[in-house]
Amino acid sequence: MGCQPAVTTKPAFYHWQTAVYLDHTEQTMLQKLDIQRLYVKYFDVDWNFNKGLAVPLASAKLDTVSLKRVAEIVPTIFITNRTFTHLPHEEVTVLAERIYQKIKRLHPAQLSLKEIQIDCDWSSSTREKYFRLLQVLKQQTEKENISISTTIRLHQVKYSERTGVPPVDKGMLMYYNMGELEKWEEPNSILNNATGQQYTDRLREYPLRLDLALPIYSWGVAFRGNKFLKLINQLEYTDLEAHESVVKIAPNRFKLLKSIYLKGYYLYKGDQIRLENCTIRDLQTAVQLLSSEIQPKYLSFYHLDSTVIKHISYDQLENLCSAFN
Amino acid sequence: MINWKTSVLHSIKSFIFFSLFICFGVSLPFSISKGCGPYDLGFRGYSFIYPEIIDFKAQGAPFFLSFKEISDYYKGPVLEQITGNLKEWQERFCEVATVEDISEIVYKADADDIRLLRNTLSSEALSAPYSMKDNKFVNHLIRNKCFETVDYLYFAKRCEPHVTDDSDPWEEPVPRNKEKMQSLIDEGKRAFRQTESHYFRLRYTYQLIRLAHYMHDYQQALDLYDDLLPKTDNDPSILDYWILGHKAGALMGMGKNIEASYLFSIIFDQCPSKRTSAFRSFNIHSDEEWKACLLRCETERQQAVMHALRANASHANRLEEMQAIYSLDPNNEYLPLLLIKEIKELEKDLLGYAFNDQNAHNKRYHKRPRTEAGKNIIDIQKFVREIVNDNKIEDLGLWVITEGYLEFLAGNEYFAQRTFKKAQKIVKKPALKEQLKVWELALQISSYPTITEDIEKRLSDIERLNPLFEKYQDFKDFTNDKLATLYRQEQKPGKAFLTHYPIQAMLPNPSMLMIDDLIDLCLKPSRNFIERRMVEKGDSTILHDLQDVKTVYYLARSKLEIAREAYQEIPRPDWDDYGLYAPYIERINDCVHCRLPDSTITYNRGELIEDLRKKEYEARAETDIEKAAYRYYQLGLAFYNMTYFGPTWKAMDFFRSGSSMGKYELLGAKEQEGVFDHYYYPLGNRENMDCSVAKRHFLKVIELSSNKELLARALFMAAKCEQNEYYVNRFNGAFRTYEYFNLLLDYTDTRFGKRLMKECKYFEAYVNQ
Repeated sequence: MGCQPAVTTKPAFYHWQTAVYLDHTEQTMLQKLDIQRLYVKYFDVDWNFNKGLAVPLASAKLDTVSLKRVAEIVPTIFITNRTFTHLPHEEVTVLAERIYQKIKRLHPAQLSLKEIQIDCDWSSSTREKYFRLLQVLKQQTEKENISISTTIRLHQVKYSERTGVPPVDKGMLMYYNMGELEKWEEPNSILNNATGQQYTDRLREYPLRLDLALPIYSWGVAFRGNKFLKLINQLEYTDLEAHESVVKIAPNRFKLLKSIYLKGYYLYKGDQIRLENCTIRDLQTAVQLLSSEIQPKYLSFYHLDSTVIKHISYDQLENLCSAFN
Repeated sequence: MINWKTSVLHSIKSFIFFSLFICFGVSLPFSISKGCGPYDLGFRGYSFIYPEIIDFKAQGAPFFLSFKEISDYYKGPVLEQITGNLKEWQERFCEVATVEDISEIVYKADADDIRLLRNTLSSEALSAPYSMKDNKFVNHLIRNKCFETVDYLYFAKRCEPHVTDDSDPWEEPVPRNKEKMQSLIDEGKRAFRQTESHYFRLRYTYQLIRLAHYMHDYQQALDLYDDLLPKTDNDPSILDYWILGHKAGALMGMGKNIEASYLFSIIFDQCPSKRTSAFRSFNIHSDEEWKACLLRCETERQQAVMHALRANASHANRLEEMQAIYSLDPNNEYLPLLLIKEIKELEKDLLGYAFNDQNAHNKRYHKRPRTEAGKNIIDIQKFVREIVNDNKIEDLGLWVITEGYLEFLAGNEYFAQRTFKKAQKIVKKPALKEQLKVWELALQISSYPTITEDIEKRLSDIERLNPLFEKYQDFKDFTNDKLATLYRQEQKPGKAFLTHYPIQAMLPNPSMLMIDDLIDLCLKPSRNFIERRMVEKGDSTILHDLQDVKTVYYLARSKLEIAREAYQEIPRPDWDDYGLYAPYIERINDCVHCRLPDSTITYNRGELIEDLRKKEYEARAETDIEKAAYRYYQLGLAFYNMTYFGPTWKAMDFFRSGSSMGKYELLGAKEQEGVFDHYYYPLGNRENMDCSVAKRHFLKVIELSSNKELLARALFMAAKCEQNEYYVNRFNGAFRTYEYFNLLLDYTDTRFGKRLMKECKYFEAYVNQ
């Protein structure tokens, strides 16, 4: 690291909802942290079995007025792995072209397009087609000085010989979703530094320059008889507290004494919930652990939503960034 | 389950022989993944549910029960909306035309076609448009001057582009032309008023509400509903529910999801063609909304339907919903459907678990049995017993026999038998009677504690004579799996193996316990039906084939004496039937599939063993050392050629896979013995990769001979063995050594050495380095 020029780590956010409208709380957060860059999910790409082709889904609707203080938006595209399972080799180029054109159509005219990020949890069987798509996308965007980045999962760093390294300009290390979600015994599948630590020893060797994404969201993981049922997004302690028929059986673990609707999901008597969130202490530990391994240009928090960010202060987020500087 | 026979025959037919090593080290065999090969990941178990025990045409049967029989019965439910609509058109027109002719006009013709048709109706001079002249529906419309019909069709065709979206998903979506849509609504309203037919008034109503809904003008959609529907006095039609669906959609759009969900529950219940979309649209978020929605229901049946809807969610606790349905509406037709759905799940967990040979697969890929299966079956049993005891349901037959089946699944065979006996007196419907017989048969097969001649006979009688055995295809696997388990219990491994597989499946790695068991069976004075099927071949048995397998087994382990004894059990005139082999062929480049010269002397296995034994004796007894050395050289050649690496590998193996060498990188205890997992072969594939016997003989030559030519040949063969040894153990930390290659360097001036330099580039490079 000593040979590299010093990089100042700047904060950023992911925005992962379809309606890209920033409310007052969100705008204030961006302003106070002087956040210039927002990674915005523009659309998903999935395989449509009826049509037999890759299609865009959940296209973002950008409210440019509420985004006026944002200096830079990085369009982020999530592509399902099964898209590459079914996509014929000869259609990879066409898909890359379509993705690029759609991004250009969605991107606000007043903002320059400097980077595109692709998110895909590729597997060894889909690697070839995924990497080909990235290559094509890179060729297309190079002329316009647009760089391509991809999300990188922890296992893809640790086993990079097996999983390959995407042919892009840089990566975004996703330091979350690292635990065994479907196991009742798992302490916290979103952020578990003990697990994360097992994957970080090869970060320095990773051939791509890495930015870093950290989680600040929470969810509930529902189980029936120790069997994973579903995820309940943005479930918070207060949601559970509000129900008389929900009892705490252990720290962050709850049981339903009666069948009830919870955040729109119907759960039955006896079902259990593991509440998962990211405490500031866990995030600080993560930063400590990673700061000796990587020097990200951007530390991006997942994700920007007033219900999520209300649990964390500007100072806390700022301190997390400064740990790298 | 897998059609093993077809697969293995295909595999054997497409046998691939690889040229393993072209001379030395030119190329390593390629690797393939361990997971290579076809693999069906589907659940591998049994089901004995007779689909006709529930009424196929009952509300929601195809929706709730997705099993194959019902799917076959209800071919293409996705087309139900189209076929339902076409049938209704046909009925309204007194069936004057076929559904196909109506479909041509209603679904395929475009607005211009219909305009031409309208012109034809207006003018005596015009005949039907050319493309429609043979269409009976069109001819009927012309003959009867059906202006209202054609006007409606023309209107509907013009509405269609505004409510469908077949644009390229990658292109910018074209915004709806709301102005045009509104003008169509206005035009439609005028047409509605001018139309006399209440049926077409209803169709206009549908078109107009749909347009308003797609314009997101939800209030207008509701206003149109309230305004137009009371002005149509029509017989019940599927359009009633299509219209209701758009009303519900408009309400949902306005955020009134309680009212909307209530309407969707009615559509779900009453309109098969919209059932799936109604299920998806039913959207309740909280206990308060659920209660409010229940309060909207006019009858307890409607409330029960809401529970049925919720029971179909992927993570529903069906029992709780069934209990709710039962307390509201005991005779509700969704109740038996949910019961069957639950039984199907429990079958996957528990049916035949004690003997299903695919338990590991089901656990790995389907997480079966579920951890909660034990508790679930107790809870369901309690519920079913409660229903039987309450006696509130008009036809208790299904519940009584289910009580017995659940007892069987729970492992209480005695109680199951007793309950089935009781049910025989209660059950009246033929379908239920058949279901009872099927479950009784499954119970009978599953209950045999041990295998005896009598039980084998009973099982073979069931297979041959009971029509249910053939009708319910899972009985075959169920019985075979049970039989195999009983055979294993009785120390009959060969019979257990042949219950599932043909003898060919054992050949790549025969088990001597199995072979001996089957030889005993062949020698048995009389055999029952099952045994005959296992080992009889025409008028004879597979005894000689088994003796041949036994020979190969011992030959591969260099036990020539036992191999000879085994082969001698085959009458000498038949010895050639098991293949001819050329053990003494001498090649510089190993080639496992190259053609042999016509002049090559070949031996059958019996002669080969005899010759090897003779040469062994001569080598030991020969007083002339050079002659003895030559004998050892021949023996070395034969033992080398019969290994995995030689052209005569078939002499001591039935199957060779070119990919086995690559698999050594996945070394495990099993592979270390030369046995590889193989998709087609349940006992794996044993490869004879050990060249140590051959090498021992070549070293003997080196020890005895002074003949430089023979020494060169023996050193070269010993070097081949040395290299193969390294390849086989290379992932086990073995180092490449060149002991015999180095010694060979002193023999480059021999005739053989010169030939070697010419034909083996690897050796040439080694010499010149």
